[in-house]
Amino acid sequence: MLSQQILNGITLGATYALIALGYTMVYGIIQLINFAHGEIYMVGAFVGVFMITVFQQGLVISLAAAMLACVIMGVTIERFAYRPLRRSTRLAPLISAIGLSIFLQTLMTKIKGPQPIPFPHVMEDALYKLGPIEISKVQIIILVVASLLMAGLHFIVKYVKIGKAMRAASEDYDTSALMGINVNRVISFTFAIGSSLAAAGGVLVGLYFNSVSPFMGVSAGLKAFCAAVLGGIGSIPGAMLGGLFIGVAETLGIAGGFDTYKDAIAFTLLIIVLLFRPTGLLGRPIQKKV
Amino acid sequence: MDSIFSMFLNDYYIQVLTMLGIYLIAALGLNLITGVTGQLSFGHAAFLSIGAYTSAIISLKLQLPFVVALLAAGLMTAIWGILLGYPTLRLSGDYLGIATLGFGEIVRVVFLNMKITGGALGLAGIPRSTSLTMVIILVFFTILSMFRLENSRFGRSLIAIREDEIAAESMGINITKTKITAFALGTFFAGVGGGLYAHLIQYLNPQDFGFVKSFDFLAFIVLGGLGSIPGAILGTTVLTLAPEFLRFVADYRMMIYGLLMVFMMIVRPRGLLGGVKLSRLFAKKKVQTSDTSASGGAN
Amino acid sequence: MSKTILEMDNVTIRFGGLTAVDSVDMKIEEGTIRALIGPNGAGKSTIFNLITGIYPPTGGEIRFCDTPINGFKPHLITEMGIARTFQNIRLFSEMTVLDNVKIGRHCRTKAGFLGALLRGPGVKSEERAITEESMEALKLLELDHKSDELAKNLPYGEQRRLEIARAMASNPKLILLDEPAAGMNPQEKQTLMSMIRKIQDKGLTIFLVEHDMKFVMNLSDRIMVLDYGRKIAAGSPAEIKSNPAVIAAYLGKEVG
Repeated sequence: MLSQQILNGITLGATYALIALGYTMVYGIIQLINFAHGEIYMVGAFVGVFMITVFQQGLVISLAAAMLACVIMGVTIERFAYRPLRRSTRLAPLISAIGLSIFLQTLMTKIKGPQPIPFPHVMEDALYKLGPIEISKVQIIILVVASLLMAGLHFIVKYVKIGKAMRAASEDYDTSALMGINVNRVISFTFAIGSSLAAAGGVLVGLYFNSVSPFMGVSAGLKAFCAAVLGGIGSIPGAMLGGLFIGVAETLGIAGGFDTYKDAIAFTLLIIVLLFRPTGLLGRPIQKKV
Repeated sequence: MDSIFSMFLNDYYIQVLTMLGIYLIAALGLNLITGVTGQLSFGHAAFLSIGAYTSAIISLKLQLPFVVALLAAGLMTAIWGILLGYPTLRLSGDYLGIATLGFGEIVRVVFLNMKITGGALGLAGIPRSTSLTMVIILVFFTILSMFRLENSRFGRSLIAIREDEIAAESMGINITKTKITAFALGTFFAGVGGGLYAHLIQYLNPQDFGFVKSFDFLAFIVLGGLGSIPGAILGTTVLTLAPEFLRFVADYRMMIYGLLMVFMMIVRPRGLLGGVKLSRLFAKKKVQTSDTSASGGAN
Repeated sequence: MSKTILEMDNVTIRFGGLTAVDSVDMKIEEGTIRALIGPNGAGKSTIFNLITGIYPPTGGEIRFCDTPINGFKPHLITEMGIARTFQNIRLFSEMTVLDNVKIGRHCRTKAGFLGALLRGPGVKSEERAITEESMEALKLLELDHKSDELAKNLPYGEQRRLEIARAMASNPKLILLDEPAAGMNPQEKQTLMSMIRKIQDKGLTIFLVEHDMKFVMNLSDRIMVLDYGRKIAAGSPAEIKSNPAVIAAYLGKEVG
């Protein structure tokens, strides 16, 4: 029973982790809490539904299309709503992000209505028994896709030139700019990667819970953000760990009878962790500079 | 005086203006915390809800006078401000913001689960004791208090903490105590605003005090010009009334509101009144020495 | 002849594996000017940060007027009578010059938020006194004509002097100056030197870190030399000039 809950938690956590990666990468480089990220995830889910229902595409093509659409969206948002504010107070781009978030939510409500719509039926669901645990086909898909995407991200960050540039910019923005790294390109690329992962998360969550709504980005975005901070914002493994941690904690909390407190679990954990490790589980401690 | 208002304004406008006054009181409270002291708070709506529920319960269950309910709302909220502030105010910048965001969400979920607050059904039947006249008087007192606080030994220490925490500490300011005092004062005003809100709307639901509302308050003060009292007033007024003026676009109202926030931020990154000192505008025209640089602000 | 105002006894601080200050002993007599010199990264500013409570020492003891101050919060240490300036100027840049100095008066005054709200006669007269005393501190550093400017709009040399004025406003017994002459031209340095002498004449003890050797040799009564966190020499300016260990430390890296 416990192992079953943990598996469910890991599945949920994997989707949180996909969203959390976008928060953490963007924060790592430009110290912006991109509060419109949850909306990108929501739009991704809708694009997925749209591809399946209107264009009759399969899951793989729809997933890819959602990711591509969100890459364009993420890069555009950065270019027009954040870049002009890069050298101003830290709160300015944050307010811009909140404005965007309101815009995207109401835009989607205008197009699709405020009610959740069901995710189209793309495949027969099946349950597989693994000893005491049951795993559904959807869960397998989520875990496989999420793992592949995260492995891909790891490869890019570790071995590809632009990924290395990302790491450099996140280490020291000004120095990397002086060293000839085109930071604008790096930042665009970071938004592209983060948005594509969020879109994938959106499609997978739609598939898992069989529901998509214009407001799905609010709570998921907030919890994924929590995951990013819990793991240590700016740290890619931290975001993965934080996502899984919160997914498992939430699932266990619900199974333990705290379902009405579900939305508070992630935040309670977050505050406790911050009080003991002010920069998150895998975050680097801040050295007071005088 | 309320009868005079109702001669000129219909009930709807009175309602909107009263709400604006309540938001002004709460926003000025947040401005003290985030604008003046530089401590990021993403949980201001939660403090409003603590004040709202406290006052509503006092009115409904104890049937005490409204003044008592309002004062209790302010004090209870300030106590929670201190309880939250004590462990978290040593966190810096964004992490403090995140912790307050988490606190706000926890408060919302707790209110949803409590019996005395009516849970998810909400709390109804609160007497309508808030009037426009009363709100105008309280707004006036809030503004006066804010000006007095800012232009004092205490206010200087708040600004010093915002400008450079290490230097402030090295000049003899007890930063923990000062930050917590600022937090308690700012949340006190949020609590009073919450009490007024409860006795205006007459119905409370925890979902109306989510983090989206907290960000609204943040947007009010950032768009107005962080740390500026006239700025906070202007920002709150513009953003509270904007949806009313945008009614003619009907369904597109909130979309335009969102875009307006982005647009205003890009046009004036320091806020409408950021970097503008009103006293200097009114003073004799001197050579413009004030800055145009984009530095400063919270964090 | 005079008594010891500040004493460091075997003080050490480690950051991770790095020992930034290693078993340093020191005694400063009241009313004197002491200089701390050494190559970049020798741990000079760290010593200031230890004395002012920014970092608690890993080992050893610091005593001010015979009271151990290890682990005290910076604001308490300021209240006891130690004020400082910073190497990389830390003014409250959006505040006026006068308000910056007024912050220095903070620990000698007491009106709280209630006083601010009620503005009783006591609070008003305290505020007047704060303004007067702050203006005096500005006069001492010859900045009184700039009192209404924003601190960030002052030229560099004046910003350094403003930091000293701010520190002076707290009525310290001991003042720590971290590279007060950095970035100044020879004439400004000359003025600064006479100002520091004036501060000494008021009975204060001065402890300063400075790279300009002429400045240090002219001004200080005694000098301590630090290298790699260790004290390598101490004595009068003449003794330091001819000390072989000092010459080696400096010639090894940079000619001072």
